[in-house]
Amino acid sequence: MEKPLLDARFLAAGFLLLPLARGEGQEPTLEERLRAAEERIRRLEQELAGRRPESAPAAKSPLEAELEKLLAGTPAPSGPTGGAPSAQTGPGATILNPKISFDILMDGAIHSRADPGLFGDHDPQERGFSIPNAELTLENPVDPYFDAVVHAVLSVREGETNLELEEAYARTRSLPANLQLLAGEFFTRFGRINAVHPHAWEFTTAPLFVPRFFGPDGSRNPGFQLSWIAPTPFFLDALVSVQQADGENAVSFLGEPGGSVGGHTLVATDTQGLRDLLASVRVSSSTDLSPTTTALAGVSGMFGDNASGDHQRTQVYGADFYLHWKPIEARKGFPFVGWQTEAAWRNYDAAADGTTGAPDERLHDWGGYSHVAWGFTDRWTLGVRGEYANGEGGLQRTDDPIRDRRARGSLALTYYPTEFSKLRFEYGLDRASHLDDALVSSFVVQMEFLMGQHGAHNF
Amino acid sequence: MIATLFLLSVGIPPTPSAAAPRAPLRLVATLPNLKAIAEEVGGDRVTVDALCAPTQDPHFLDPKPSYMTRLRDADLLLVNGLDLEVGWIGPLTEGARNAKLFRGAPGYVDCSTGVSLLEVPSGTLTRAEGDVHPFGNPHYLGDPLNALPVADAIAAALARSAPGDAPLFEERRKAFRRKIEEAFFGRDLVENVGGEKLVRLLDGGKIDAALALSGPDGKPLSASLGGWFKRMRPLGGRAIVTYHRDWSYFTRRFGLSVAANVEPKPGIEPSARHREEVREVLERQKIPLLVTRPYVEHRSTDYLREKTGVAVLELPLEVGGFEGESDIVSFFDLVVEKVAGALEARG
Repeated sequence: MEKPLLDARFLAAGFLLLPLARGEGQEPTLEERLRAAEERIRRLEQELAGRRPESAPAAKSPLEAELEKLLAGTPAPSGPTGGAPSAQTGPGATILNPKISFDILMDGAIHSRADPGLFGDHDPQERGFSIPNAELTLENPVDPYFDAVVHAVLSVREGETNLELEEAYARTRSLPANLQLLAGEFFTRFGRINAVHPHAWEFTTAPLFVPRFFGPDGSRNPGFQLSWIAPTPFFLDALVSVQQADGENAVSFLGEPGGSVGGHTLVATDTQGLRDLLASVRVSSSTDLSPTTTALAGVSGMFGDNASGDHQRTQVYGADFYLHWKPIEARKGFPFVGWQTEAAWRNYDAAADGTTGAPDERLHDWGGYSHVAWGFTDRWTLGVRGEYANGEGGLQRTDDPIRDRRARGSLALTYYPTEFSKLRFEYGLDRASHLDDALVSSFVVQMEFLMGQHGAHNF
Repeated sequence: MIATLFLLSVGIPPTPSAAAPRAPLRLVATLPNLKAIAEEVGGDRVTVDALCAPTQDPHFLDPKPSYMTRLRDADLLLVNGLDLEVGWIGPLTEGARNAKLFRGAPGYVDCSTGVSLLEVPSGTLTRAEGDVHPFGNPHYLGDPLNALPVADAIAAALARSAPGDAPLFEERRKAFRRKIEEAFFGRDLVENVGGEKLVRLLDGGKIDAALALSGPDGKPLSASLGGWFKRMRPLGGRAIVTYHRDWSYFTRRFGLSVAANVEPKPGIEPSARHREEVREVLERQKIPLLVTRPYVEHRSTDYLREKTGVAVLELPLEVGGFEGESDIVSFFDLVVEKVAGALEARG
């Protein structure tokens, strides 16, 4: 850039000096001056052209002619070879089809008791082999306004194959103000574990409090959810949802006809009005403590009528905390440490039950777990989990399998040949008052095989 | 106060006064290389943030919520594309609620558009082949000249987002192009022939013929050759071994060949048997150099070095991966010097 600038200054100086050079004797005519200036410009242009042969407007040099000949056989100048294939023109014939994946989980379990009292739908409930979760996932944009996600789950237990539509929802792509609306069948975003699919769990069993408060499969039902990311410099997410409150996936609310909670028979399991819907809120926030360590904390609440009588209320509250560490130069995601803790408690206002003799009362239940998953070397993780659940009130609580005092410890060693398969060995030691406070040991081998395009998991 | 909070909460910025300069465009790049190129093209009219650290494996980033916060406020998202980020970019764009950055939206800039790709699989493709990239090898910025089509893509996206600054972006894009061409071919050769022509001659396999031509000073053009190409040219035809297929674009550009990969399939660690096969290749072909990456196991490469005496060079793939460099040119200065030095040291 320097050279042309200098030349321009030189030219300007030439114009200024012109009258001075001819200053003595006769005054030059305007025509003479112009001619002299033109001559000077011509000389300067020649000089400039000599310095920059590339821009010389003269006839083609022999070099240029030779180069032209060589260039005649080369590709066009737009990029190295021009018209390169892009992701859109790759193997894209399937681009309008949804992403499809199928994930197979198989358990082989030995329990020291024939009936170990496991109530999660995806838990290894009996001795022997089972398919607790074989999940078909489809996802894709619907149109410019919605993305859709479907998780359909098959399971094989005691010779029976069951099919459940675990999630099927659409969510908006472009609502203003950082809002997102989700509608369909979905897992309630309560705490951390409830919305996580079984193949992404660190252990083979659901935490004890999940079947107690939500149902065997966790809390999920049709409805809608509105979530918002605050315009804060740190991550702050708030959401509210309204869902149907009946069936086996809402046991703390309307539940199933014929069921009972703490000796209170469920009598009003039909949805009558807005009060009978399940409302949830969750606020969570996260910050990076360092480039390698991230913390995430959240509080959740669920509110709705329960079916023990008319206008009986249930509230479930939860708090969760997650701390994750992974070095920058991790190899295929290892090593890492994830520490996750979650606690929940429930107030269940139960109407008097004349048949069982249960009084009008408020039942209290609480439970929680804390686990550490340590990816201690390439492809290997060690998981340690401790949990506790208990309650107050109700009839024969110590014999009630989903309200008794119970503690469990689990140790899981997992090997990941790739991120699409795993082999897990888990040992659990369990003590529940409904099982006479005897220690129950479980040894579970779990295998996972995931094929196809499966969306990445959330943090 | 409440009204202000409401306005802030729904994301409506206060009306700017006529005299206030427009704020720079906010860019988020997945990789440091893309950030480096975007900064060259955008100058002070952009701020660029990279999600991946220079020595971090871009295949295995965690979709941390803090990344969502950064994407929430971004005008443009620069991605490497070719499914390199497939393991984590989805939850981030979905969680960020920023419709500008969805795949297919104007703010989603796939920097691979315009790059001539290598190793695009044909025929049936399954994961039995390992961690395959169905659209082709995504490590295209191993070739410094691929920074040119990337800069073109970024400049076009910047001009779309800020048309008022388009002339500036175009000027800076040209300046960056010139900088890369001069670093690659040497300043004098670019003066004599023109950078674009040189790239075409190189891609068309005519560069040797061109360098034999007489320049304006009567000497062969090869006398004015400089830069990375001059450094690597005498080493053309040499074979090396790489850990992963991440130096394919570099080796093609400089006429090196890759005799074997330490990984038997992309993303799959070598078995003892495969390691022995690589050892045999190293010994039989007397290969002087094994290039590995920062975030893979060292057992295999240590073993191969011990058994065969091969020089093992750990090279980062991203700007900032070495000490003392912070842009594409200084990064490749080091890469070229290290590779050439190692090849020369072994005859």
